[in-house]
Amino acid sequence: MSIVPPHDPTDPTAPRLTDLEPKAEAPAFLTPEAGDERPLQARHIEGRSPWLLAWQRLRRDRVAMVSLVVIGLIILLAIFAPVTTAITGHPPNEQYRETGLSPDGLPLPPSSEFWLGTDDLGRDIFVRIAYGARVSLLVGVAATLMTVLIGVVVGLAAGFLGGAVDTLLARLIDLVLSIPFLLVAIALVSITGPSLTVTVLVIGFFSWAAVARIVRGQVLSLREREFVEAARSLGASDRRIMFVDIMPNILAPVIVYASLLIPVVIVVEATLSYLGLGLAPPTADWGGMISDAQNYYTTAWWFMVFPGMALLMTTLAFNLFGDGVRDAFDPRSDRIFE
Amino acid sequence: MTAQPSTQTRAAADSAAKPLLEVTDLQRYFPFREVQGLRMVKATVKAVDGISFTLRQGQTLGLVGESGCGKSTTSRLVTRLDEPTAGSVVFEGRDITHLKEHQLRSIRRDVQMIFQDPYSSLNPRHTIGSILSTPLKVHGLHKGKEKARVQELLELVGLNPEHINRYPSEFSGGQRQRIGIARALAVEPKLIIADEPVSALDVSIQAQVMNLLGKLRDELDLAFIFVAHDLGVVRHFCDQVAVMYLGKIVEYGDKKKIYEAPEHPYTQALLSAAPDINVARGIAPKERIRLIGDVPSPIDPPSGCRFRTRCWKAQDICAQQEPPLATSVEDTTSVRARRDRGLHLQACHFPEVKTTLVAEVPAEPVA
Repeated sequence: MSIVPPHDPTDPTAPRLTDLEPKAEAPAFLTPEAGDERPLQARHIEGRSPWLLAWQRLRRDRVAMVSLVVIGLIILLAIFAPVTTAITGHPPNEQYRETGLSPDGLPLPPSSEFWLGTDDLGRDIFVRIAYGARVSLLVGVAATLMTVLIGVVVGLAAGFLGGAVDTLLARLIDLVLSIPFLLVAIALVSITGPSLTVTVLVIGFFSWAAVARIVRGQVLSLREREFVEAARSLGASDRRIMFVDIMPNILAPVIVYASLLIPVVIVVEATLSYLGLGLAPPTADWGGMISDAQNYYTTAWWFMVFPGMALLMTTLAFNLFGDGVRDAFDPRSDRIFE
Repeated sequence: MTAQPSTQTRAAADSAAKPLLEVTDLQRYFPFREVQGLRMVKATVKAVDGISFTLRQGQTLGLVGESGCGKSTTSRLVTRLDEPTAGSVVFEGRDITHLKEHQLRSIRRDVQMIFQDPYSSLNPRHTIGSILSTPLKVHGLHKGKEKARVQELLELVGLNPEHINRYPSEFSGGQRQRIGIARALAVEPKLIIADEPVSALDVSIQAQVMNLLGKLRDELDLAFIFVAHDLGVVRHFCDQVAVMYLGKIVEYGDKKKIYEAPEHPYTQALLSAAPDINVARGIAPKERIRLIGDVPSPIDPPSGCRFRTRCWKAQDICAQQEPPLATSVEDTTSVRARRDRGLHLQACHFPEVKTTLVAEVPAEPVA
């Protein structure tokens, strides 16, 4: 039985099948694209996730992309630091007292032998910068990961569980934030002795509170959203609501914070080693190199400038990239639909 | 258990239609502390203050009233998203008033909720497929065939089943509300509580969503509690209507009675405030009852009748005695009998039938 009268091509007023086509509420993107003859199941419509949208926005940010390339190069430099040794023939801790120092025992300027010059002990600065990148990046990433992990868990628990747990954790956050970081760090390292692990732990321990505070605030507002209520009315457990429903919604600000935290951590690590609290001396380390250079900067500018440049380039690249990430996640900068 | 003898006799009397949901003297007080000057003052907000109603399989009860009258709190209490301070909620003969979360699992399947704001009720970081399969996973339904069931649900509410991998931000308000409806239906509930399900939508979309709800109600034999402030929508959709004011039901009855012969002055004022379509047709507007002032604070509600501060009929007795939800002008049989027959209850010392206030709403929805 058909309610559609047979179509008469000669009669322009006769109703056509196409007149009945548009459904009540079907914007253009809901109706299959014209000419797509594949059956329904075969066509796989992929939604654009908020992550994908953010990435698409980030890809259009030229500054962020250049920064990403710079970061990539620094990572490559760190990974392939032994290659620099292979090319130049200079191990990072080898002291070239004959060829690497002037007759007066001063550092040598950049040359074909030592591309970025030598330091006060006749070591190759280029090779040492490459090896120093390993320390900076490792500490930067490890301490940031630790910070984010502790911060997210504490913030989630405080915000979601509320009550006495929240009061306790919120006071703990305040306490940690009020501890003078450098003072305690110096005291701690003087007890345990400097090492990579201690550096990471010290930075992580003093940084998580800021993340926890951000996460807690986000969770407090998300907890009141109806989709949390909906999950509860469906019988979802607290754990499921916390990690499946709420957590994906706080990841964006956490990622933004983390990407801006990495350069801070790198600088803090350099600061610690500048103060002699970083890694034990022979290990190549940017902060330590700058520290060593401060007695020679009038006679050997390269000794201070190149490690300083490396530090500056790295933190600048991470900062600019972090800015880009923040813009990409910010819904107000919705440039994807321009 | 609150096994009152009267409940049992009544259950025996109408065993043919055993109530699905029975709410008795439900109360929800929110305690809070407030700083007044230098003192800390404890106070309570009486959001819901002793309301009772029953609902049978396939029936729809409309809860109407101004903002802040306790409609939404009532729906949260019935779904046990919140715990009542006093009173009881009995679902299919089981007292669920104070059950713990882990004891509520079966209730979480039988009673579902449709939320007001379709922009806030869907998790923006989950795909539609993941949103709709969550209830299935939580309750272990359709194991291994979740995707097929999700697509079936999408078709049921008139959405394209191909959009299973899309995110809520890619849908319009009306489409999102359809997703919310599909989520509520996923666990095959017996009772759905809809908290203003269309008030966040465009008027043109409201009708579509209401038609969808009506169709699903008939097809799936669902009971509904429909919370709304739009009297036209309630008239179109509900069998019974409860009018709430400041945490209490002031008038309860059959849709026809409430709309055509309201007795409580507040109901009359509400009805007369609804837009009248006849004015647009060129007929002179009816007389309107204008209420003066705001709803009093539920922290310190007026003594006696709560509506007396804004009522044009108020006299001394209204301040001294709270009128019970009982006396109907036309009916002299017992309260319980009247409620069971789905008739008419009101709470006013000076009730009076007014028939000229009915807001003209289209009998058939605009498609």
